[in-house]
Amino acid sequence: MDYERLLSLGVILLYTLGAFGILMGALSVRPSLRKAAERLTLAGFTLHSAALLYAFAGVRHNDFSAGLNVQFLAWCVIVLYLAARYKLRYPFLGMTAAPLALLLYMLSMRLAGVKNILPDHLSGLFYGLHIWALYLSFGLLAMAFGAGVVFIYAESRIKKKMAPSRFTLDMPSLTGCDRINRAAVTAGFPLFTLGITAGFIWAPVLRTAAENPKVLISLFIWFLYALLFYQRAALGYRGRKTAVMAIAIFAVSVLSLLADHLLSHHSTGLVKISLQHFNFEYAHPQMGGAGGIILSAGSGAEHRPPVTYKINVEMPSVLRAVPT
Amino acid sequence: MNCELHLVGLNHRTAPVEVRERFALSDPLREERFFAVVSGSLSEYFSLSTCNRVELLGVGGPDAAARSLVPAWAEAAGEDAERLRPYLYTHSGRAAAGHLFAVASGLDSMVLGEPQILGQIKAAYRAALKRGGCGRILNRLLHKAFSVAKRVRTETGSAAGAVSVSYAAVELAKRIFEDMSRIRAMLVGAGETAELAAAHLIGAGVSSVLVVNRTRERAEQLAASFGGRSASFEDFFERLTETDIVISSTGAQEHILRAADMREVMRKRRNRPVFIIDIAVPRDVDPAVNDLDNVYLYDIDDLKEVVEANMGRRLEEAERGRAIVEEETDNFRVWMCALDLQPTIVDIVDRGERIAGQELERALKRLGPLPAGSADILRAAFLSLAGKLNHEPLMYLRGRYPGRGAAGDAHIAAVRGVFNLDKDCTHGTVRAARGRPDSDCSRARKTLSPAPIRRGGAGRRTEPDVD
Repeated sequence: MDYERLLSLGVILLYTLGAFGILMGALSVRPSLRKAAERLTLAGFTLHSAALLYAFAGVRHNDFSAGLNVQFLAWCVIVLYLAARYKLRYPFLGMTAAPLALLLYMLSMRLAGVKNILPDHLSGLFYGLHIWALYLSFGLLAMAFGAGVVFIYAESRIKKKMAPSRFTLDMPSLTGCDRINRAAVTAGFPLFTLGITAGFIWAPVLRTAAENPKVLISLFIWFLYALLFYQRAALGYRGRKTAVMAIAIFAVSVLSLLADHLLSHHSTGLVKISLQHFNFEYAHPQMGGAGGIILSAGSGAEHRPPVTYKINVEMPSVLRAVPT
Repeated sequence: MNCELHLVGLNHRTAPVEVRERFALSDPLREERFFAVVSGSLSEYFSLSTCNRVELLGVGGPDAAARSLVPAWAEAAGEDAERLRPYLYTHSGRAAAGHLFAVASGLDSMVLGEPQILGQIKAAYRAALKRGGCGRILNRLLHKAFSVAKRVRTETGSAAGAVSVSYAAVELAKRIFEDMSRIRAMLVGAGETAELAAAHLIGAGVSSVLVVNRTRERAEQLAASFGGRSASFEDFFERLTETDIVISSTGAQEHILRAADMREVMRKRRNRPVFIIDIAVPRDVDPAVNDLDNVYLYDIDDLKEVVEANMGRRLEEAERGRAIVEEETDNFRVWMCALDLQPTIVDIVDRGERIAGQELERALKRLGPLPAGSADILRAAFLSLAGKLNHEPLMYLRGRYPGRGAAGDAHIAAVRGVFNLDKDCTHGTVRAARGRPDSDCSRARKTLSPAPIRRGGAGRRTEPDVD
């Protein structure tokens, strides 16, 4: 087993224990259990950071796997959670952040073999801005989601004149939850806008919105985000309405993310899929490629029997290879 | 003296308030007198006196409670001990420790789970320490009581949730608002419960209190008592736009605040949340106000329901608290048991060292002059041999001890018999030098069955081994 895989398994183990412990600690109101779980999550984060550094060190300047991107997204989620936990003293956000980071990390493992090779003219400032801004805004949205769920639960108990459950005793007040929502929207919307704009500048192929549902979904999320931002800033909305909006935007974002990574590959114009020792490369015509499929054999393939693959191009920018 | 733990006390359940008043030791002079009397007969002592209970702890012989604690208490209070006895409860050993743990955790309090009692026990402990009343056992017991109380509070909800209407309002406010120091409160009308709730809000740290009343003078008078401000009733709606908590208790026969009015107020407030406590009967605020976003309305019945629910939950949680107390009492008992064994362990080790020393002296006489350092090497070897020979019996003594009681006494007596330790006890030499409690010694003598044990093989075998 190589170091990268060992690190990943360690991260998954620690994040699983951390997420489970944080949830159980909160539900059973055992601060000691929750604190122990937080330490496990912190240990997982340390390993996660090491795994990321290790992975980044082995990456050529424009050769990012889809898995690495998602792994980085999980890292952003935990970074924001830790900042909220230790700076603002909001430990309850771990209930959202720890399971989400675990899911994203596991998704990143599943996508480890899928590689996006960026042409030189597509890597650089705008790609970095696109990824960083979108991932940070996603992490902030995750915080707003957690705060929104707690707000709606706690508020409904207050409105219905119910005594606080043991679970809510450890939760922040309603205005505390709303403060997280405000902070997440105030910082998250400009970041999301920056990420989307950088994406448009970075990859002209994404402008073909009519051909790419991902672009439409991104624009739809941006619209919802903008509406929430406007409601908070201009109309003075707060409380339940903004909590519901944040939950809805986060849900759409997660669905979009899962659909993007599980059903297709992020379209960068040139997609390379490694299957065993054979590589297929597909150059998108709009990105200057010939539109043809390049088949090449990797190392160690010389003595293997010939394998034939059926290439199924579902969309101009999406490629799926299935062994026949 | 013996090292048995005893507790004598009375509380709100066993004695009416007039008896509690008569026998309270909260007055420093009475407490001083109690300590002065009791210090002559007990090795360790402690007293706790609050408005709801008096608890006295002492370490001494089996009848220390009846012979020392109660007479000293009656003397300190200037009353007849016989008048005190009908209201008393007494506990010894494990039960005494368990009772103190339950008291410290608030599980025995009139208001279940109330936290003040722990502070009172800490203060009483400091007072007992000052007078030299706490030794090895009470120090350990009281520190354990503090940790048990903390554990019960953090691991159960026995102290969670307000159990008075006015405090329930404050707790609700804390569930809504994050930072109470930025909160502005307004009293509308001047009822007694409203005043109490306002006092709790000030205690919780609200930034300001405004009193609005139809009679301006009354408003000013009340505001002055809180260090707050007053306003006329005509300004009510305007003031509502800048207030976060409203406590309303006017004598109005109709609603003074309707949903439509509140909607307009919320628009001006830019939806900042507001908590309205309506404790007037008939109610001052239209119940439909609660349906508006960011408005939280509670009337007096709602608050009472919250209090009852909290009381119910505390009762449930108290069961879990009692389980923790039981567990910790067992742990304390184990420690007390180890304390019981200690004199016997010391006796066995001393005996081994004494015999080793005697044999060494005899050997040195026979050997005559030795090279420098040889005597020290021999001394170390003899002591080491004695230690190794004692190791297994000591492990047996510790590992098989069944705890206090007849079985425990028999266990100790058997081991003492095997080593013939009580030959020393009879002469009172080693015992006195070591300061081992006399009654332990006499207990060992009483429970020892000299004939079978001393005649037994084990007893005979040990002698030749060392002699």
